[in-house]
Amino acid sequence: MSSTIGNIIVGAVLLAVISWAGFRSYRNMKHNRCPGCGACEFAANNECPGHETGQAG
Amino acid sequence: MRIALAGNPNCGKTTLYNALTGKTESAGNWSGVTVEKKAAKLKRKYGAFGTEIIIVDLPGAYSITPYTAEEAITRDFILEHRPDVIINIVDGANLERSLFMTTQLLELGIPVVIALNKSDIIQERNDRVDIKRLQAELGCPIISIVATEAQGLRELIAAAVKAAGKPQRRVTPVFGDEAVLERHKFVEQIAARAIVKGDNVRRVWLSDSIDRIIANQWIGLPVFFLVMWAVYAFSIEGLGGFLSDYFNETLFGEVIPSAADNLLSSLEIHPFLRDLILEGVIAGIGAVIGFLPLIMVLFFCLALLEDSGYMARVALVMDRHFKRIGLSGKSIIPMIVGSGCAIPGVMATRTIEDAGERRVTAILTPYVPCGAKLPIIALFATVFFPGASWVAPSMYILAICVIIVGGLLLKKLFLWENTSVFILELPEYKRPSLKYASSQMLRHSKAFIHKAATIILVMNTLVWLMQEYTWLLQPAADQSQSMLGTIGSVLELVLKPLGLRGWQPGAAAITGFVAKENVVSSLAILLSEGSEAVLSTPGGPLAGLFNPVTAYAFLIFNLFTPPCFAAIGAMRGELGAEWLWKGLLFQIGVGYTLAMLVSQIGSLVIYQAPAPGLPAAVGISAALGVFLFIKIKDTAAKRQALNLAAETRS
Amino acid sequence: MRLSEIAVGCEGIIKHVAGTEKVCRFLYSIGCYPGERITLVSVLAGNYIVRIKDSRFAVDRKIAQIIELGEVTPGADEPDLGCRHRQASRV
Repeated sequence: MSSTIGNIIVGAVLLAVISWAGFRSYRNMKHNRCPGCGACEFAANNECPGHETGQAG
Repeated sequence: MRIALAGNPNCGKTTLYNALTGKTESAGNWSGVTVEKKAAKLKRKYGAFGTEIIIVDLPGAYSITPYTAEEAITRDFILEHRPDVIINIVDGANLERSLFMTTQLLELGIPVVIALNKSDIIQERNDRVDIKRLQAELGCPIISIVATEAQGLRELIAAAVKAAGKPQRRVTPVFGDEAVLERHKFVEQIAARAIVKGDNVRRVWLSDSIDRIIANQWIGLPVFFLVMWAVYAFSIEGLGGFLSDYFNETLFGEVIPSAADNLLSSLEIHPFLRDLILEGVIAGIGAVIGFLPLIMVLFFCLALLEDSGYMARVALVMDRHFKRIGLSGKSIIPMIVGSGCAIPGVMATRTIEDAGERRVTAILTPYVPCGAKLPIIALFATVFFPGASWVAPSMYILAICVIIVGGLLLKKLFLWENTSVFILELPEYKRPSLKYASSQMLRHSKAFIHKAATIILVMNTLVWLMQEYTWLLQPAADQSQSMLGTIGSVLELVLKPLGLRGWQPGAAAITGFVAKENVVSSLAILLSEGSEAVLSTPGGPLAGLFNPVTAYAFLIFNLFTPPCFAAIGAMRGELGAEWLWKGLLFQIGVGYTLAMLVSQIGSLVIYQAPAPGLPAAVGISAALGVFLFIKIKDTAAKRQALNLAAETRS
Repeated sequence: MRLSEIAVGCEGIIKHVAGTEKVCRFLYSIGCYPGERITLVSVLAGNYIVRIKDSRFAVDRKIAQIIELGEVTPGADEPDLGCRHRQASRV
């Protein structure tokens, strides 16, 4: 296999994975202020009316 | 449709919530576990009713007229959000007391359905409850359930849905907020007519006897230390450590890297990509994921401990010691929660009424080693103290000591008085449920993996890039000239008095503020170029940077300085901006000073040779000593003046 | 007699709770109200373990001192205790 195609594929996969990871971290941060801690009681994974994550104050 | 779960603390609301929604919230056998309302959709298997049903779990309350912050949350939710129906979980083991709140709920006009939980205990005790009679007296349906076995839930939901929308029948008299004693008398009468008590003496005697030993004045604290010691030793050095060693050394040390290397080489992948994958992603993530077994074992054990009912006794035992630093035993609850993750721990301080106590507890809670700090502890224990089972537990014990000493310091440095009293329900000891412990273990495992796959992955990529390239985006000839290298070199000056050499420790510690696990993964990435050996090998790459004393000091530094940014955010939420800074400064001071003292004194004592940075360390210690002396004197004088003023006024 | 003064194992009927309104309300809600029976199970680590209705609570000395009891009798579980009461003591 030509190394160029291999490079492109691997590079693309890497980029996709890291972007996804970054996106998920960002979303976690928005929802429960913790970029990755799903052990937190405040993990929001459905948009529930009446569910308020711990907001400041 | 919204169904709210309300009831006394520790009656089984969260267990029910978990069963109904499929969530795995913490539901330990002690009050104070649930401090915030949570909501989720009802699982399909409990009935499809056309509309979406949401279950809301509320913190426990003994009454609607609130005394504690938790009770206020329950009352506020019910009054403001008006759920469609309230399921009042009544603790079958504490039936009469539970009915007090029941009568209050029945006056709100919202339909109420009673879930008579712990029916299995009612049976065991040979109590007899005339459910038909009770239903007639109270005017609402009563469904027997056993939440821990998920029994009776279908009927419960069906009854709740049926009751929703129809106003609650008024069968019981309305007492309102004021006529408390009359309400109690009324409940007593109902209970006398509908409940026949069986024989409970033996079971109670057992719990009491255990308590006499475990919560004893003299033995209580040592027992607690012993228990935590056992848990941490077993998790980190024992079974957990054993499995982690395999993961780290074999799986992530040899199998995966060489497989990946072969694959990438055979595909003739560009060195940039190859190095990023091997030395960045795999090295970093591998270093952290390797500790998954450890995390699993620890949380399994902690859940068992929680479920047994022991935690309430810990609060009892610590109360006396905490009173000396101005807190009460209630403050240990956020700290126990914090042994999983500091964020819910800090948020749990909301249940402390006194503002000063709440602040101090919030500042001290992050000192308890959280799950994210475990890889750091395990890594350094494995590399520098192989075979010694005291290192990991010592961190936990040290945390308690630092909390007490730190609390004392905070009391002397800042002016505030504690007013709270200690009242805590002691649940019966129960055989901890393996099912519950497994579900908690899985929950934390999933969270750990999730964290590794998201933020840690991102950080690893960043770290790798920053140690490969200089600020001009040229490949760095020498790692120390890379972006991370220069940052680390600046920090090296700051960390000199801790006896730490090299720019890597500072760089790794900084990444820890995004997530504490990053300290491990960053070190793995920074040191992966140099050697073949995996990071966690005793005498491996880390030995070039640390010796056992400085390693222990570095461990202390990472554990006792401020927690990750997310936890700092939680602190800000509870402390407010002004006290946040005081708290952070305090944490930095304590962590830095402690690490410094351990490193310098340790080096002198164990190696009979000073560690680097000794002169600076001495200078800093002296300055700190003077500062503390002055500030404490100052606060004491202010306190005197205040007392004097109060006396002359009265 | 106050709860802080009776001997371990004894029980009594609560006569009065001499606390602030907030504290009283809370104590009432857990079953600790005038007319109710309360048993002192043990004294552990400076806290008083009491049995009220069906449950056990740990209360600290401040609370134990504000619970005033009417008639005090040896507990049903330990009939031979003879109710030797402790000296009234101040904090």
